[in-house]
Amino acid sequence: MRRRDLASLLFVGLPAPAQTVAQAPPDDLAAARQRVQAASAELAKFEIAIAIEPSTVFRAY
Amino acid sequence: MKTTFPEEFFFLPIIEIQAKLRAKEFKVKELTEAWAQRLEQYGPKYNALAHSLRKPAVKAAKYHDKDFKRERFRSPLHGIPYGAKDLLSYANHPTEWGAPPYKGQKFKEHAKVITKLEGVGANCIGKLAMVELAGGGGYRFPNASSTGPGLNPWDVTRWAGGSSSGSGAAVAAGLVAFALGSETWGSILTPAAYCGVTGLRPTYGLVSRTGAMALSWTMDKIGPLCRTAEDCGLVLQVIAGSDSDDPGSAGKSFYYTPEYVRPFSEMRIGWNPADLEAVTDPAARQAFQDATQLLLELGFQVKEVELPDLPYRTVASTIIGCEMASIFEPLVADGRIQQLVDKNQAAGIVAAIGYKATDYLKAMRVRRLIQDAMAKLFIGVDVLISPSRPGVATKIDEPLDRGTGSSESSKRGLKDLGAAGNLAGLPALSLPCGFAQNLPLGISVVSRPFQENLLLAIGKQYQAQTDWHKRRPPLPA
Repeated sequence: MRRRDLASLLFVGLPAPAQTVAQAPPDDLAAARQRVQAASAELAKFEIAIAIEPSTVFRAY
Repeated sequence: MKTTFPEEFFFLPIIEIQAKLRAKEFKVKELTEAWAQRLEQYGPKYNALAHSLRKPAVKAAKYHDKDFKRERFRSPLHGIPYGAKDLLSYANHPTEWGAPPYKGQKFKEHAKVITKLEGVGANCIGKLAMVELAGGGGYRFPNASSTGPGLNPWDVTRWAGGSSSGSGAAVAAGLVAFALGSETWGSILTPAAYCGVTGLRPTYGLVSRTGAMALSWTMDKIGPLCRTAEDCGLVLQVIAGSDSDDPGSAGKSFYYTPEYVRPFSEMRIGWNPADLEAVTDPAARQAFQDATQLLLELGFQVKEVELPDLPYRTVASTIIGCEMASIFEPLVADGRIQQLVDKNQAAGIVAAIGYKATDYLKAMRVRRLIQDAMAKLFIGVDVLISPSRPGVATKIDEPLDRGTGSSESSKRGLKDLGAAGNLAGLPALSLPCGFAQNLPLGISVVSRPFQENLLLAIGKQYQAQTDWHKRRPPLPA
């Protein structure tokens, strides 16, 4: 997907982001997206047997 | 007659400077002017200074002198000059978060931590440089800041660490008596280790973040970088406490009382030899071995432990990525993200917008398992020790993704303690523990939530037996 296409998907309802996507070299952006996808895939693989936790609210205590 | 401060004066711990102030050896105004002058002169040489606050500091110093004249001492920090990471707002002065899109940004109020320090008479003399937006987008080179790469006072061809680069460098070079930094994932412990200073990452929620740039609401912590563990305790005592304006506030205070910690002989220290075996530089490995040995000999019972097999790094990067994307989405929408210095960082923020809501929620659910696993680990031990960073500071022109000084080992050890500790909101203290290639190294002690006094007691004891924290880098030419 071209960078501009992604930007338009991301900002539905916002003013047209003419120059939305950073001037990152395409490789950087592609690499960053790959990292996001890899994280997403790794999380998907991680099985939590059943949703027994009451919430995801975070407390350190 | 004007007081002249010898070079070694700027490296004294807080308590000794305070004693001299109370003995009226010099005035707060003289102290403030000398330190502000030093910060202005040398700060730019390390790219450590974002903005000088000399004028308001000198003005405040005159009031403090009236207090001292009447022997109205507010605290051990009264009249002590310090610096604050430019992520913290200082009313009506620039707070630019190290990022060109926020050049000239000003807020009308101080960050809560600065107000608290002002209340006890500490004097903020400057805003200290940082990696832009605290580096949340992921940066490839140390120069990812509007002030340039944070240079290490021990060797200006090396990085000071990030993202609290200026805080680490300024304390190391004696440009401030102490500094405030922030950590989401490594941003206090890394510059503390690389610059050879003592850095404390408090328990999540112990210190208010009101007035601080948000990078990741559920991960951000503010803490001190100081000369000694004791100084960290004195600063934390002031900045900790409940804040109704910070939804993450734990509603707890902190009193620095290391003397009431249980005897070390009744406690267990956890470590793993794999952490040391993975260090590639022989000199660094030897320094870590010596430091570990000394910590183990403080009287603790010793236990070998390893972190459970969980996806710490993936969970941490997903949570930070999602929260950061939500916070900086307007920067992407209006195109100002193009102004960021590091294009990798810009790409990282843009890409993070592509995370799915289910990714975030899954990461938060796994985080809960990580918290439980860490709590279980701490049933068997009271503290964990591990190198803060596995090697010395990287070169400033070297990509940060090239390697960190540790080899890939099949043994888990505690190598993901940084991610695990930040995910679970655990406190950590980085102590200077030796040198390799003439650059400092740091070792971390980590404990259960709100056990800062235990960490500081260990730090104090360790620093009573070592002098790594007293070493000073040469002055720049």
